[in-house]
Amino acid sequence: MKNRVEVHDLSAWFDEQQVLFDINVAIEDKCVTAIIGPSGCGKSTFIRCVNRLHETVPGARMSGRVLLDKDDIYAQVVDPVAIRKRIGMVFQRPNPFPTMSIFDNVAAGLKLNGFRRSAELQEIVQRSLEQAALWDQVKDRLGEAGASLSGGQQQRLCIARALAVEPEILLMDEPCSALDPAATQRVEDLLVELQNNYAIVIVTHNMQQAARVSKYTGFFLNGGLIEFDDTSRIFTNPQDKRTEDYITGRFG
Amino acid sequence: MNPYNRRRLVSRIMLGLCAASVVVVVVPLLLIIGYLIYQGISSVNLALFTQMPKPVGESGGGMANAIAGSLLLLGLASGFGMVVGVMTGIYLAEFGDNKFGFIVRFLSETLNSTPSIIIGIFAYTIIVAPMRHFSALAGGFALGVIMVPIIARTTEDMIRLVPTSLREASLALGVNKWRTIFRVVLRTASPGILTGIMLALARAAGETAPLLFTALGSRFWSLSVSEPISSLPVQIYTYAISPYEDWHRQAWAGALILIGIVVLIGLAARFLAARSSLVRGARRR
Repeated sequence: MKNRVEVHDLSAWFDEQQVLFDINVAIEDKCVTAIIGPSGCGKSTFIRCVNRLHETVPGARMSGRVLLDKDDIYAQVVDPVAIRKRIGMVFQRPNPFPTMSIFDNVAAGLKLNGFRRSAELQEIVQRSLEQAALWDQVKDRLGEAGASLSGGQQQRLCIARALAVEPEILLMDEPCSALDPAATQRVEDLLVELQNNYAIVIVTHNMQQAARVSKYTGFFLNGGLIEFDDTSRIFTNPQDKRTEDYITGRFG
Repeated sequence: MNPYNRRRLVSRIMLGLCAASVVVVVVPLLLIIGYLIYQGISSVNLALFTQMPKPVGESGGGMANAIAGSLLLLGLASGFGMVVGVMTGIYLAEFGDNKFGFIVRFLSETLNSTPSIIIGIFAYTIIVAPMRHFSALAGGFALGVIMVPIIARTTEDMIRLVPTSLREASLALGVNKWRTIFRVVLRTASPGILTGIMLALARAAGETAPLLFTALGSRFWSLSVSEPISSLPVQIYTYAISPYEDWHRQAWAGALILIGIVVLIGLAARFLAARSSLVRGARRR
């Protein structure tokens, strides 16, 4: 299978504190890659380096290379804004825009960038909401505030919003950690659907979730990538003692 | 005395002191408004709003020119104060975490506490003196300078209240920083910013000293920005120090109208603040 993203020797810092150490990994197309590890191990920073969001934090910097289809996204000539259009992101807490309706939330990525053709917008919004399995619940109230939805619905709204700009890669930073089990189930079902069209990276605290949805799993500890392998091997026959300790619940 | 009774006693004393402070704050305001109504209400009539001042010696007439003048001055002032104030606030909130930002913040606070008569002299020096005559433009500018630091401060505070998660949501969609600031952050903060603008406007509406040097005052109808113009505070001042009984009555009525305008602006600010989820969230915290 084709690799969409390749990460070479990625290190990252917040001011003087190094939080990622020489990460090397490849993300395959049309499947889910899970990133697991204890809190503060650098999982979120890792995916935020992949869409160049890390650098927007004051004092943050990185070194190494991140290749998207063989092109270095940190090359001098590359506009980070263009990269973020190609690599979408869903955050830990649902963060719909509070001043916008459901419709405008989904259309935000396009409208904020000056897209005005309303017939096309209608189609894109409907398609994105359908992809996020939310259309049937909101189709009669697209004008209501995005914040009026329940937590699980808000998170699917945010997924629809990310899909509306038609990214090629989807990064998800613990997308279910603020959701109840039923809403989590729905988001996981969604991942299974979406992986037919996207390369998906999901950061998760929940090892069962990683085991359920992903094809590959990477285990992070203290800013390093300890082990990366087929999900089934990570959970049944890990090569590193620390991975085994973590997945058997001995720490973290 | 056992500890429980002691605690209860201290609690009651403190509560009593708080209540007394509330009375000290509220009573003077109520007295002012009450006395204004008592003195002014009998002279408030339609003529006050629609008629021009009569020549000295004739009774009656109104303050139509002063009311219109005040509105024009406030319009000019907000035009200047809003643009400069909001832009300054955006700068301070988004790019102001450095030495220059610190200096700007300090100067802005100093400007806020500068006596308004000095701001009047400033406007006189840079607008009235070169133009060689008093003008509404100079008055509007002076009031605008008074509004800038108030608006800059509230804009900065309100923008800082917008959660990072919203900026990141926008950035992650491939929206650039400027669009994120103007179309997501500013829009989310706008009810709070509008509240700040209203408060600045209420402050500017009552300023008299800077207008004496700039807009001067006039007994004639004018909506020209390059001519001297009448305003409520200056008109009240002129009438109050005059020897005529009829003018005194009109000064009271004018003062009542002025405080009415200020209360209305304040109510509008409250209304906007109540609609702002961010301000509400900030209070809860």
